[in-house]
Amino acid sequence: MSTSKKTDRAIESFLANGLDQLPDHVYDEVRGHIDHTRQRVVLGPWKEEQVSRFAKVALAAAAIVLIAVVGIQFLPLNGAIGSPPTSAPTPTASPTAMPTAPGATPVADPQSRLTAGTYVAHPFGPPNQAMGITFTVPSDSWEALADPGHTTGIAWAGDSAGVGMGFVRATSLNGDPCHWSGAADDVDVGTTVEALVTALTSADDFTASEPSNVTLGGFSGQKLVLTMPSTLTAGGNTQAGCDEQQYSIFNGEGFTIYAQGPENLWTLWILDVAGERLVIQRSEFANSPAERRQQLDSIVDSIVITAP
Amino acid sequence: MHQALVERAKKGDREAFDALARTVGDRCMAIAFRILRDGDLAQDAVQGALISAWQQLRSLRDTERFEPWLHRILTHQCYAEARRSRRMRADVRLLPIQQGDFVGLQMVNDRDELERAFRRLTLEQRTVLVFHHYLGLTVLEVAERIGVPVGTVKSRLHYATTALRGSLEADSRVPSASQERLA
Repeated sequence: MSTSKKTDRAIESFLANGLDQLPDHVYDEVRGHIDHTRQRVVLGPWKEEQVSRFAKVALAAAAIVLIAVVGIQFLPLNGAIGSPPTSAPTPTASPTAMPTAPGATPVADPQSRLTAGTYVAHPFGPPNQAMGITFTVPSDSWEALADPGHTTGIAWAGDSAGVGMGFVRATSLNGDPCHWSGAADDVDVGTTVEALVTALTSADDFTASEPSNVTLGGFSGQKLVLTMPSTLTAGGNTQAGCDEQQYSIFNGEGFTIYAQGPENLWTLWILDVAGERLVIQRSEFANSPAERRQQLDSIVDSIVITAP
Repeated sequence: MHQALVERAKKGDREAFDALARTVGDRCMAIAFRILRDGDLAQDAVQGALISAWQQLRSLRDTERFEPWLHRILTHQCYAEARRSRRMRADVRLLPIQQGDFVGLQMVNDRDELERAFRRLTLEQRTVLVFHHYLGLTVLEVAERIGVPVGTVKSRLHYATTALRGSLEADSRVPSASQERLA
């Protein structure tokens, strides 16, 4: 036997021995943890997949309506073919969320393409138990980002090119935004506005502006702008060598946007909402289309937060 | 095999994820232990990896690739666990040797020497050895699973194997104390 094969055999024999059963208490601890943890919503894949899904649903709905309309036109009035219709066909509901009339109660937790109007998101729980974030969308160009049953942010519909806004309850920062899949090196961010601001301004993976005092939606806190590294590649989930090809800063509930490309700008409003910390995360680029940025300005200005 | 569970878990079904975790947990433990050479660290790494997997599951595009995807998370969790705990010491804690696993005293000495030599390897080198020699993956598969270039895997494998071979050869040239006593 060659030295090489002998060594390989020795290594294989060595590695064949050792612990290979995970104790039950570990499964129990994992279960206990996930029972209180919601899955992360990620921005990147959403941009294509969700829009594509919406487009398919919209096309399907339009096709059904068209068939129904055409069908009615061509149905013999005497019902000679088959049984006579007992009622007019019911149009299939469009996936587009319709706003309410001015002054009426905002539409709660829309799940899809939005039309101009006022909506209220409950990103962290049921409306009667969790904070509400009311905002007004000025055009039909936006879509809701949603955890099942909860709106967690909005983005420019179609190819958002990184323009959007998420509502986040941050629980930690990734120690290494590129290799973020583990949790062991996560950076604690406490529970206060100040603790999160300190953690963000202490990190050296991105540039953080000087924080300033701010009031938004009726609650006070701090505002700062993060600039993602210029070394990132264009597009969100295209960072070679990074976990899932994403450069991810935040962990937490809500809409945790990852870096959308080089020098992606994140404006963060870190607010104390009656003792609960909320991060409103606005994402864009310096050269994002002016129309999108202006509409984002308008949406941010419209925000009203209701404490649980 | 686990695809139905993965699909359900991806939609937020905690029962499905619990069942999934119990399906893949032992294998994860085996991998983590062999990389870290410490049972407690390995448990922590697997626990962290499973929790991370739950949190990130929606980012998994191809549900058929769940286990390779989980193994990549586990690998990074092992690295992070080792860094955090700082318990990766150069000293040696010998594992209990089971009679019958190794035949003959030379094999026992080889195992001890391999344990010492293995602990001197970097975590990255150990990982490549575990995925290649324990899981039986090809170099290309290892590269895909841990997310590094094929050339890097080959390099790590080469240096790790050379180091282990050197340890074994040195051990065979110098009779151990045990052998001397028996002689």
